[in-house]
Amino acid sequence: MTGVLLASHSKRLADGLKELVDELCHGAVPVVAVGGGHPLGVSVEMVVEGAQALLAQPGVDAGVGLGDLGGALVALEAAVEVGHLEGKLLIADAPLVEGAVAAVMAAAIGEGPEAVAAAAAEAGQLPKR
Amino acid sequence: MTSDQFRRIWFRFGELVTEHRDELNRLDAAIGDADHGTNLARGLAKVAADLGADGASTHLAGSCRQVGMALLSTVGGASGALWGSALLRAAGALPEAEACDTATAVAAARQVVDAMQSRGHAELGDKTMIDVWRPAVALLEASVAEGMSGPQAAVAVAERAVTLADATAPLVARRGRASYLGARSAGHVDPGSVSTALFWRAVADTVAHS
Repeated sequence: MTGVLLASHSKRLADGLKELVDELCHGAVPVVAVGGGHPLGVSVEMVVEGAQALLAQPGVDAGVGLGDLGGALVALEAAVEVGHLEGKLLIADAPLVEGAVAAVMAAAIGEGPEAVAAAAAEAGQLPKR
Repeated sequence: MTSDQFRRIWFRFGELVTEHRDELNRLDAAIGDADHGTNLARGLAKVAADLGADGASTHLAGSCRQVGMALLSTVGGASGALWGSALLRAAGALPEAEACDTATAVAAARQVVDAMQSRGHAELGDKTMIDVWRPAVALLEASVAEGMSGPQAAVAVAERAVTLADATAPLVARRGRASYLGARSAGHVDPGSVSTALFWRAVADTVAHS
């Protein structure tokens, strides 16, 4: 199954979003939240640790990572290289909240990482109203 | 370049960033989150501690890897990921030896700028540190190709880097946090470009006096 990694400059923001998507998919999709606190920011190290924790969960064979701002994306992509996560963690260019919702919904119906990442990216194109 | 020089470049860079920490934070406050100086100074303190630790690697590739790992683990956000992964890439161009020739050191600098660009997707003129890194490394390569010594070339690059950093002021940011400001980012110097100029000053200070 595909898991989801949420990376935010603020750990509280990532945790709050995890709470929301856990509720939406009834906990069916493994979700790990990482982020900064003091100081704020996403480090490569915390992404690697979060990805390893996600991939260690039973039944998870790949993960899709989402970030809040550009710096989080840079850290996510660097973590894939440094943590040797190629093919294990796919990074989605997606809005964090809508992308996370779309990602867990796609993962919940058994989609693989490419389709989950695509669903997250497409969520950015959906009008809100 | 000797591994001793390599380490002293990073000690000197740490000193310079600490000296200019408030200035870097002030520049970042205008178009970012006001922590560039603090963030980088913290990372370079870890770099200095790791490079000076008992059992630290004594060869160039190992020292360069240590720098990359220290920056990845301590400097948050894009700066840490960009500098860290670039230094890890550069380590692959350096030998597991105490010294390398000028051509090898220049090739390692090329790895830094290429890695930063592929990781951050920034182009020239986006108002990022690439606006200093890319022309600086190009000047380094050209100067050495023309027969300048490594130290002479480093001094020339350090001087040019200051001008290049200042030249980011009128640009509109297209990458990084400042890009959210759009046209309002014009009129402010890019803090990452200023710290990159400090890096080249550290290189020049170190190799020109040893």
